[in-house]
Amino acid sequence: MKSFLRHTRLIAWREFRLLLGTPMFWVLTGVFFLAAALVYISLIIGFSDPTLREENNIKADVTIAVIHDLFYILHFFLMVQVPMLTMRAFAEERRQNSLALLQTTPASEWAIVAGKFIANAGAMLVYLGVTLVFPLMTEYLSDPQWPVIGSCYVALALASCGYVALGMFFSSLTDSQVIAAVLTYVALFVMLIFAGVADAFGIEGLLRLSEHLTLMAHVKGFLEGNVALVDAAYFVVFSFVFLFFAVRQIESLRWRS
Amino acid sequence: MIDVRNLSKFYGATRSLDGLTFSVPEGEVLGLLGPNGAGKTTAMRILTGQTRATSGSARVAGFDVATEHLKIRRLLGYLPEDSPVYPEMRVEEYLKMMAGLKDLPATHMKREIDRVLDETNLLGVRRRLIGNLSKGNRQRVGIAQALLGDPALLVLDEPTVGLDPKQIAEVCELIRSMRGERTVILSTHILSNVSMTCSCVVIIKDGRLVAEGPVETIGDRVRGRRLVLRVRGGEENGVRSAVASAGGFPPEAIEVSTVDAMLRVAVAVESGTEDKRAAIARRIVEEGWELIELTEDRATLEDIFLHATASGVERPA
Repeated sequence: MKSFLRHTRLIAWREFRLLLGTPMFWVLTGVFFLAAALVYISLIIGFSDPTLREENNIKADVTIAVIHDLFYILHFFLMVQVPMLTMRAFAEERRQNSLALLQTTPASEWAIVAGKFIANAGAMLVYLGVTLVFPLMTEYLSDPQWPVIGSCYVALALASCGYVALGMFFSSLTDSQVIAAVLTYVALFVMLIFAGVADAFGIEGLLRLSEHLTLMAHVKGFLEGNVALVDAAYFVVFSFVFLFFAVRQIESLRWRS
Repeated sequence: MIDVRNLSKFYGATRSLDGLTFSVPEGEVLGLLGPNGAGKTTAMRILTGQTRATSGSARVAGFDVATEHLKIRRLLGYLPEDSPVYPEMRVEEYLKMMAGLKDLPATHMKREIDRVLDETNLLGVRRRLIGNLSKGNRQRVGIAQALLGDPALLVLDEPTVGLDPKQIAEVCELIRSMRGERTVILSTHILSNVSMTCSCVVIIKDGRLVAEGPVETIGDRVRGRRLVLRVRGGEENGVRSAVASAGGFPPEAIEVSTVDAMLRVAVAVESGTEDKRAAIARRIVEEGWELIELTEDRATLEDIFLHATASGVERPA
């Protein structure tokens, strides 16, 4: 166990430094921040102008009118960011043959996957960290409910972990970063529209399935400040399942090649 | 240390290894030779636990590579082809990470890193980014990580690619110095490297073993030893019978031709027979002929490689 933790820490630290050392990461962070800032400003303008508030039926509670809506949209922004972050996790190592080198050290496949997962999830937390400025500004302007804000952050952090695990699994399938990113986008899109399709066709069974299976259904509760253990467990299981698939995939490289 | 038995590997319908069998005693430096596509890298990948054989078995230090590869990883130093090191890391921090992944104790890590940096002549670039190093130095970083932890088995796939002649000589010297201390498998296309470094050679072609043996004697086993004489003053049949009786050779083993007004005698000598050169020289002089030259013509590794891979000779018993 001690050895596993050591290997995981070494791989996570190397991967995290690599991610933060690439210009791509800071460009993505900048774009994410700018987009979030634009959304925040438009929400604040809508909230602070009584005429607009009345016209658009915006609620008087700043937490609901601004924070909830902001985090709801940030969640979609994160879905756009994650594949660009995770696409290189294994695809690049496979292309450079450095994964083969890692696999000849005593580090287990679980340690390799866990290390990369921690690093990528950590990078997502950096994304989330830059958004702290918005609740702080809201605190300055009004009186938001911090427990709800905390719940929103927990929601996005858990969802990010799930998306990172999904992206890492698709990255482990190929040595092309582009293919890894496209596959992750397709999977996220399918998950996103799953409920909509079920709803459009009025298929009751599918609708009930989508309520249980799609990430969005479990994010909503958190964004409204309702912290439910079942939702948290869902994200943990979702992440674990795709990390498990990634481990099996890189283990199978040994036998399939 | 390494025992490979009837190893076969198929990629779909394509056969990469076909009943490969060889063994490497502990402390030997083995040169794994063969033309491109012969199956060298596949054999190395199986031995390092990166891929599974279709049939047959391979054991490293008594551990089965298919089922006990985690145990083998602890004995292994591996340099893959093209030395895939992380360009964004500094040399020392990369080695520190690899030392950690190899479970080196923290108390010995600094000393171990200094040792491998010294052995691979990288002390001067220890704080530089790997991505800014020359290809030769990057290759050395790959070798340095393989040496970390003083592994019992070192597997080096084309370790001298990209190095200049001076660096090649240094790496060869480094590998040669490991003879007797650890087992090394070296795959290379540069045959002079093998002559300089290896104690034994395995030559494969189309996934099959075509020659195997110590570097000093593999030529005798593959192509046979030859004695070459130049004699002035004698006539062809007289010289032939004199050489045959002095050395105890069958007449069909002796070829005589006239070159530059001298007789050139080539004798095919069976492997393992004692040295008859003194007896032959004495007999030539006794007959009153002039012995201009008497040499043993040993095959170079290049001759052996070309002969073995062209003819596909079977492994000698």
